[in-house]
Amino acid sequence: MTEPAVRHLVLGVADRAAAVVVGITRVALVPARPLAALPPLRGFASARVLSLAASGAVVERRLLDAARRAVDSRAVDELADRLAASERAAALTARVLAGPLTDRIAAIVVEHALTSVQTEELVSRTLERPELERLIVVALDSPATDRIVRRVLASPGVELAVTRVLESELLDTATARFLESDEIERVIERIAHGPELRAAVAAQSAGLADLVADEVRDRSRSADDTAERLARSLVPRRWRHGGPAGAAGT
Amino acid sequence: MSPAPYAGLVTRAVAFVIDALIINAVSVILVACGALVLSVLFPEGKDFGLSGVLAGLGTLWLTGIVYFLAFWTLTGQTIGMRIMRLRVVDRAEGRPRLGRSVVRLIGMWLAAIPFMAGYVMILFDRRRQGLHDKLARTFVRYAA
Repeated sequence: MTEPAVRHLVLGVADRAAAVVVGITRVALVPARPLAALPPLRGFASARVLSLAASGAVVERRLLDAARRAVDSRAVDELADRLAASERAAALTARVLAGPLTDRIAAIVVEHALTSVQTEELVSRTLERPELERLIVVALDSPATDRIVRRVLASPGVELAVTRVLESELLDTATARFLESDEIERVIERIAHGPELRAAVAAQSAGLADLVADEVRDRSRSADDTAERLARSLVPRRWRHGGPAGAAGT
Repeated sequence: MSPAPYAGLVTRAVAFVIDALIINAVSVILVACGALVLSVLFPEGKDFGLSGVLAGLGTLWLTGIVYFLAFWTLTGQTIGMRIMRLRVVDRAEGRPRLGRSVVRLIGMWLAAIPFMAGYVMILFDRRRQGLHDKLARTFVRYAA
């Protein structure tokens, strides 16, 4: 198991616990709704609803705090450290990645799972949930995440995985397909013919030409004075006309 | 505001090289156009001999004359002088008139005859004038 999986496990447990609590609450509220609609109980029920909502907010805050504490905890760090340093885990990862199964699984995922409508719906529904957004914010803001990511990136298992992916035929095929696709051709054509790119290239060329011209001008002006000094040093003093020519016009 | 310093030999030479490149390129294009027209008029491939060479040289000379006179008189700068930020002026610091430009152009040829001595004068003159500048009473200054 790699380090991000541990973090995901913690977050998953928190998510499931929250879902269970919400489910139980919903079931409990089913008989309460018609009762609360009765006139004598309406006022009492609305007060209870407000009170319950306040309690719910407290519970939610506590759940988020617990999740944050779990992510930041030393135990998770130590577990991540141990996993990153574990030779057995590295060997297991290497064995799994080296096997033919990885390519097949990746191909299946690309061909079927990622393109299916159900997956799209699932991803869409999951991403729309505010709880997920809050959890992601909490996880990303945590310094423990930064430490874990750094450790994961430094581990030999990840290096091996990246190497394996880069060397895989799947990547070659995907890249070849991507480059051969009509869409990429259209994108390149659009960028190449875009007025912004042309303006940028023209500005760059003009800037370079100006730079070269400025350099030539500076050098030739200093060469003017040098050539004059050299020429004047070659002739006797009495033949020379007046003072230095460069300052004559000023 | 004090006038800009007089321009030295090296900068003026670089500007002249740029002008010479432009004149030659234009001449080559003109001669090529003329040759294309003649190839249509004489499809059997007429040999013009010396007259063809003279026509080519004449085009080069004419292009040079028109180029320098037009630019000096109309803007006070050729393209090479513009790139090198130079300006030719008369004693009143204005653009030279056509007559003065003609004298300056003739002076340029005269300055080249004695082993470029007319141009070497620029190195020793207080106002950096060559023979052609002396004859036409013009000066070349660095443009702002």
